Amino acid sequence: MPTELKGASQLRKALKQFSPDLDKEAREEMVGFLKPLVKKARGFLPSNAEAPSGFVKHDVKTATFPMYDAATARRGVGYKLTPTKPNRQGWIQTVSIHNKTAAGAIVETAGRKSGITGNFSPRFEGSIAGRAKMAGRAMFKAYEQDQGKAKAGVIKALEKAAAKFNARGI
Amino acid sequence: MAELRIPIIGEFKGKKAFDQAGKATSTLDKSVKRLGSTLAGVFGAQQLLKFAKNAAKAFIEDEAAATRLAQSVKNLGLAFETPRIEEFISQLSRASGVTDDQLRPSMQKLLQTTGSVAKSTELLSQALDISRGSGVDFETVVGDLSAAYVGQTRGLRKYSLGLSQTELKTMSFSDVQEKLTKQFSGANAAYLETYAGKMQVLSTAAGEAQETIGKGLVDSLSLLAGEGNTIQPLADSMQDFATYVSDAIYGVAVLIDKMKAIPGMDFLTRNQKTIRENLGTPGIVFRALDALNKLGAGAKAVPGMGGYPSSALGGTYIDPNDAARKAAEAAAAKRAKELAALQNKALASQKAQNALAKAALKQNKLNKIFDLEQIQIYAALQGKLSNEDRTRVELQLALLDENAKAVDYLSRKLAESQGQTSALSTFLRTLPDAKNPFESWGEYLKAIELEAKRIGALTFNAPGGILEYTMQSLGIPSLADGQKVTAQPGYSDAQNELLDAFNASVDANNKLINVQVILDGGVVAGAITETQVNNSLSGSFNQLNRSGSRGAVAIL
Repeated sequence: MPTELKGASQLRKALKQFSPDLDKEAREEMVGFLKPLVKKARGFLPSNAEAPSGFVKHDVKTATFPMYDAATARRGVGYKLTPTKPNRQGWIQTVSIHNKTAAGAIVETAGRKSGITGNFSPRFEGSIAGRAKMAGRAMFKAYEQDQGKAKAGVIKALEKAAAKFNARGI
Repeated sequence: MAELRIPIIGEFKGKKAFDQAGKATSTLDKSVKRLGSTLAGVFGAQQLLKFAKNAAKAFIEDEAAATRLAQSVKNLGLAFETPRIEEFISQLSRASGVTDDQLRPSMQKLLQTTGSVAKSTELLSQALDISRGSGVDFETVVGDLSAAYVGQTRGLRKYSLGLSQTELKTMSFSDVQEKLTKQFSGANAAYLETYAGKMQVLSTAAGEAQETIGKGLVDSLSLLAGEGNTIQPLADSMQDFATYVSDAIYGVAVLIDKMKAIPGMDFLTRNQKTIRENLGTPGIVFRALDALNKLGAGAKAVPGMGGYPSSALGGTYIDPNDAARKAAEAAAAKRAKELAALQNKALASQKAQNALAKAALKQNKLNKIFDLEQIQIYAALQGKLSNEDRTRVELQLALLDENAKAVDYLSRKLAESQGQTSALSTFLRTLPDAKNPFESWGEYLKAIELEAKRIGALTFNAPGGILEYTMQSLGIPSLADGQKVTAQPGYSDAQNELLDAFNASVDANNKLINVQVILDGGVVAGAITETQVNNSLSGSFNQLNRSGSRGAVAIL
């Protein structure tokens, strides 16, 4: 579950508009916490040699099933510091990390629901970490191992920026 | 597949906003409904008031335009034609969907140009067709027709009549009109068949109705205003008027009620027609009622502008304005003839001028043939000339031809060229002497000479023979193979060098070199297997990998 920080998106807007220097400072601080997390998550993604051979990108495409390419999948893991659109339940994500590519998401979640059985999911090296919908091999694993440090850092950075902004009395 | 995302920081804002929006909408909806029901009457009254205002405004503008036209017609000496013109404009407006606000100024323009009501109405109708057919707006078409009537046909080019400008200039207005009729006839009728046309007719009719209602409103107010038909007394006594009307309505109601109470009155009102028919001579009551009826109808039928009697009066009716109308038409026809004559005269004059200019040009050309001076200039131009001289000769020719433009251009060119020449001359005159590039060659050659002399004077002492050293010549005793020689004190440098070389060769001969070759068993085995398999596949004797039914696998 995300930690709700009320007014975070408004704060980012206000910072951007009235104190660009504070905004930059807060952004850099948040990036400082998120970058290692993303790097770690990327490291958990298997190389092309480690992934199941049929899943790895090859010249003859046999079906519409996504093909895995380690470089592309790693590029797909990143962070976002701008708010998303509200989902159906009305939540927005002010700061988030993502695993965007389809192949990356498959590596992340294969066997999460049906178990590590059959011919595909057992071939992935590395165990699934986390619980329920927050379980995975790369991004979720990195987040699990981080033990909430990145989250705390981001909240702290935003609170610090808010305090500085309020002190300026703009 | 949706992308995977872990929210680090989230915010819940959507649903609350939706709820708020929903509540706000329902509240607004209820409020609007309440407001609507409360203000429905007020809104209706406001709309009515707005309509009344617009209607009055439309009538006032229309009346102003009509007055302008009437004044213009009066100034042309055709005041008696005003009702006929108004009637025509009204009919044309209803039939074509063009508002009378557009038709009046156009009619005014045409009347001022032609001086004939008949011609103007004809042209106005034709302008409608042209406008619909060509897509050019009505006012522009009327303007072009007016200009064409007095011989300015420039504006007719836009109608693509397939005529050149020269043809348009030489054509008479009647020819132009015929051409226009041929091209655009029936365009307005076709347009009115379309939905757009029908809508325009309806729209115009609605506008006219608004004006009529506005007229009624203004007339009513003026009538109620009392003396002088001015609005000020009405405004002053508006409150009194309202009270008065209210009381009067109440009074009428009371009167009707009282009349009903009169015995037999109810029967009379219901059967007045039958009674009138049965009575040979109408009674005093009915005569009085008839008189009131006529008064009301008369008061309503206020005569129009000039009170022109309608054609419904029958064929025996002689219009007192006929003579004046005929005279005006005759004057207009005369004016048209004069215009045509003037145009023809102008055309003839233009033709004569063109002929004269052509003749003059021909004469000039002939003169040029025999003009010796020109011949010389042309001959000079055939030869090789510098640019400046060529310009000078061309200038001379231009002066002879009296070509002012060419003279101006060439004189400037010549002046420029002369200026450049003089500048070049000055530059060359003031140029410093160039340096002699061979100036330093003398000293250089002298130095070469001296060096050659010096080399020639050199003397060389060549050696008597080739120096040859051997072990024996150096006094070194011969040794067995593989033995080194030990240097002795007192050996010269040459002896020592020879000894070193000898000892080095002995060392080289005595050195043992071991070469060890290490082979990878796997590689060797692989090479053997590969060779055997390939031999087998190529037909050589081999029993490896031949068992079973799978056959051999070639190694590439």
